[in-house]
Amino acid sequence: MSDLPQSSEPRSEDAPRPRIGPLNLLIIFSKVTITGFGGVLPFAYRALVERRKLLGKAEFAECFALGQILPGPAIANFAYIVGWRDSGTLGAVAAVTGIVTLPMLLMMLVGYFYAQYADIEAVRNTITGMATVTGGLIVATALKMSTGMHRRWRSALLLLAGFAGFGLLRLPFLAMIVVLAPLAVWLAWRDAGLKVGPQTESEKGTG
Amino acid sequence: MDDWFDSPIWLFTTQVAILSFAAVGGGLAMLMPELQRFMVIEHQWLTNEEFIAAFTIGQAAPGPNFIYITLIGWRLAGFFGALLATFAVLVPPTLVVYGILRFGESRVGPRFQKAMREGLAPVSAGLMLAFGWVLCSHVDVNWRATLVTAITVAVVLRTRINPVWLVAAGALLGLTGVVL
Repeated sequence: MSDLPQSSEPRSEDAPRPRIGPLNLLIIFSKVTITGFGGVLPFAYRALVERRKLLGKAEFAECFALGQILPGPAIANFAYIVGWRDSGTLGAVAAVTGIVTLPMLLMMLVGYFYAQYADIEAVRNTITGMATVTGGLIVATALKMSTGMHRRWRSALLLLAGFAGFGLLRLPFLAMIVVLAPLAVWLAWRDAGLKVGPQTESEKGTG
Repeated sequence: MDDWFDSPIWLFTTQVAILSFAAVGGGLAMLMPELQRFMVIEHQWLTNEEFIAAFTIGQAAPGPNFIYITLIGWRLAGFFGALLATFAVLVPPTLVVYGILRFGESRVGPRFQKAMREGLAPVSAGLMLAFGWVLCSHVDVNWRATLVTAITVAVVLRTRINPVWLVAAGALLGLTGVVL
């Protein structure tokens, strides 16, 4: 990968950064996604921030935070934002194409073979074993998310409402989101106003 | 044309496209209970075992965690179905994101971003817990499977091991019949 911009010493955050370009975005994100076992994000951080120094730490965090609050899959949004900031529309499309293409082709391959071997006892047992671990991974992620936020009554109530509605009562996801998300954001917005004071810029959102 | 609009892949695609908008503050893995109900209970296009298997394979594979939706698309309508399902995940929300980046990234001010982040955190966590609950209620069919799930939770919370090794261990336990 000698054609990619590299620097031997760490650059300061405000130094001008060379443009990555759509082709390199496609290559970098393809590599990141196909090595991204168990979550793409740590691999993206290593490739973009630590190894190639294409993004500053703060910029990486900012892009990811924005990707997470926008609708849709967070990792695709992240790629989209990084690509957009680097090379506009073409960069955004290249980065997202990189993130999704190889895993998609892999799934097609898996789908093709799975249809032939799905009835074999050993295959079914293996997948059952993987599923029990996957259940644990999801619960662990949820617990990490639960302990990583502001500890207050309101957060606990919102969390409980989400869990009870979606998990125990099995209410539709859309209904849960449409009721809980605007309520939660509005409450946090009011709080932020109390701390920061009124802001003059127009702050229309997408919520 | 009527047949097309009644076809499983079309109904699945539109369902995914709508839900993809709603998956704020988390991931599309979180939609699994909703899609399970849609696919398995409402329409019976897949058995529960097939659906859980598709989800598990998608989670174990490298790449974004919504890729199980591609695999379900493949199960419904082959190559075309996989392509369509992937586009359904990516394109609709991307149009919104594009609009924001193009016309108003600066207008989504810091206060609103902060409110979104902090407000959505407990909601996402609650939905994620619910998702874990529903998934475990399907996979933990006996005490050995429950124990494996519980050990996984403990290991992930206590160590920094890459989850892919845990999934590999789970595959081995399944193959040797320990969790059956």
